[in-house]
Amino acid sequence: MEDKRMFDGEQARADSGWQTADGSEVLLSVRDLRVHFPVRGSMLDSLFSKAKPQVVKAVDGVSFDVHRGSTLALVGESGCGKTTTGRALIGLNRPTSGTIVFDGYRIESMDYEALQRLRRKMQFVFQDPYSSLNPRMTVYTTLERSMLLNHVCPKREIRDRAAVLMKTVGLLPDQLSRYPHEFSGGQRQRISIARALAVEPEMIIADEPTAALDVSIQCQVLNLLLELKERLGLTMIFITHDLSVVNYIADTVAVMYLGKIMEFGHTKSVFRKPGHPYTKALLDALPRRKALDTRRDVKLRGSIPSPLDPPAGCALHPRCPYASGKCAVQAPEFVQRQGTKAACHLLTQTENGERSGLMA
Amino acid sequence: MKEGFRSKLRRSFLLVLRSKKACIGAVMLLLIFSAALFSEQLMPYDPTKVVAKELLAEPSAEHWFGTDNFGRDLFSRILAGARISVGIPLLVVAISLCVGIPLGLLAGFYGGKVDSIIVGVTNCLLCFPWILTTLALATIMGGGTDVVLIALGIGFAPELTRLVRSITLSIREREYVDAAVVAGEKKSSVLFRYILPNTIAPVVIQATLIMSKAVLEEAAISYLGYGVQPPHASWGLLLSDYSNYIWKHPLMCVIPGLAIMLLVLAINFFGDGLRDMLDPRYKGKVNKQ
Repeated sequence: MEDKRMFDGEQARADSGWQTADGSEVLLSVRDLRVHFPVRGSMLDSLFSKAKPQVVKAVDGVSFDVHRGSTLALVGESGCGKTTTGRALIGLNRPTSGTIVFDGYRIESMDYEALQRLRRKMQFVFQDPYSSLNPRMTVYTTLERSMLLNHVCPKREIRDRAAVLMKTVGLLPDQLSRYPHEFSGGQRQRISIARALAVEPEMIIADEPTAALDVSIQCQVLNLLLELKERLGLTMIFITHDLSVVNYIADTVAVMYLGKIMEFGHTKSVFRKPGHPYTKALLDALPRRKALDTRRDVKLRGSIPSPLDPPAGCALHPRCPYASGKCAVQAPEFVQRQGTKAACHLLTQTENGERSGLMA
Repeated sequence: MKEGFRSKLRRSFLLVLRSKKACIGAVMLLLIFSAALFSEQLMPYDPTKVVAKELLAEPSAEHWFGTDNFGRDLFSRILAGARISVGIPLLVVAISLCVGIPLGLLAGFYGGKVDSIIVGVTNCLLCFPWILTTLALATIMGGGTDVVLIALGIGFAPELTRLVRSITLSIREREYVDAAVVAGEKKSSVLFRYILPNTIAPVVIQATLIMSKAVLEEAAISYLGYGVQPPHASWGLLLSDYSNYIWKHPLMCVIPGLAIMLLVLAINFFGDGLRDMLDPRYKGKVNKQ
């Protein structure tokens, strides 16, 4: 696997669009990632129509870096490709093109076995705790499989480690012999987290880990993830549609729309002064306490266009209140601002910020 | 947590006891199976021996179910028929499972060309009315138990293949299968540890349904005269042989018919209980009590 090292951290840093102030090591580097799904029509369609086979561009040219020990939040509406991006990172969806470099290894070209070895370092927490646990395996078997397969520890220590893992995620070691259906949604998500932690990963990708849970439980699970991240020094990618969570959990945030990143930057900067109208609209859509808030909200018209037929130019232009003629023709490039960069023509016109190339 | 085979067995036993239906089914099946297995020891008379003096005798202490039109003891004939009437459906189920589960899993898991081929062949086989297949086979091979087996195998294996394929397709998309991949499972163990165990419950139900259908269809084929050949007996053949006497000696028809009905009923009862037994949710309930 050594020969698959493409470049060391130094070069990856040089390639990235921007750096953290402390210049920490880049653990994951994604360049121009595309995941396209072909849509196969029925046989009759292909016989009688001359239309080209259609392609859903779930992820269409996404680039970002994740620094070791930091948390990146991927946010956006349903269907914007954030989950597909996450799945591509761990090799569950194979990229159509682009590169993914994790800890120096090129993931996109790895075969099944090589990926399995790499997953020792990278784990995934799934969205739906009700379908992410095998109903025919006890919690112990689930954890045992993860530890056995990744040779985490000698066989005789597995039982003890499983008990420790249960305590780590706030469950009782006695519950190891139970089946998933005997747990509540929140408890199941804790088991999922325990399974991810069982292999002692460096990075965890969490795909909307709280979306299927009650609001009262969401907070518990979030706090658990935050606490574990701090204690174990994990790097996290947090996929969510809930912006209020992002501010709480993430260092950097990538706002996605129709398979593209609209804005990327430090969470604080993005929240304080969003550069992209889409980010503004998302932030304005959050419920606020102040009834007499005088800010003028950015409201988007209509709904997300079909990813089968995305709009030309800027993907947002049919819905954007600020859209001009240029937006429909030319795709905007990223404009560097303080702490964030956003892809919007407005920024080049109004702020006249220095233009940067399309991320690396 | 790992549990010993013994405690698993004990728990399964308790589960069967808990469900009255399964219990009744299991007892009935046990009786019928042992009757079939030890039929030769249990028979009071030679089932093929013709006794001219005792034609069409009413039930009595000597002849529990009476005698037939050749003076043969009906009870002995029912016992002799049990072996074929129980054995053929069992074999048909075994054939369907052996063909259906691997092919269905392959088609559902790998998809693509493998899937197209398996689905194509399956659909072709399902297009034939089984009775026509049987007639064609009987014409070529001349009737007999092997014809019944092949005909029913061709009839039921595609049905099970299609079922297993569809379940596999739906389970393949569950998140726990992705989670298994992420946990580092090999493809083969994803298939055997995660997908296969979750197909078991519906497959067991289907297997019991196939078994009871096979009992009936074996009876039908034998009734038509293409199955088991006289003087061998099967319950369907007995039913057909004695149907001429249905008005004068209705008991001769009723008894083989009743035997078929009881067997089908026992299988269905047991299948219901088995389904519950294989559901971990049900296991949990027993644990707590």
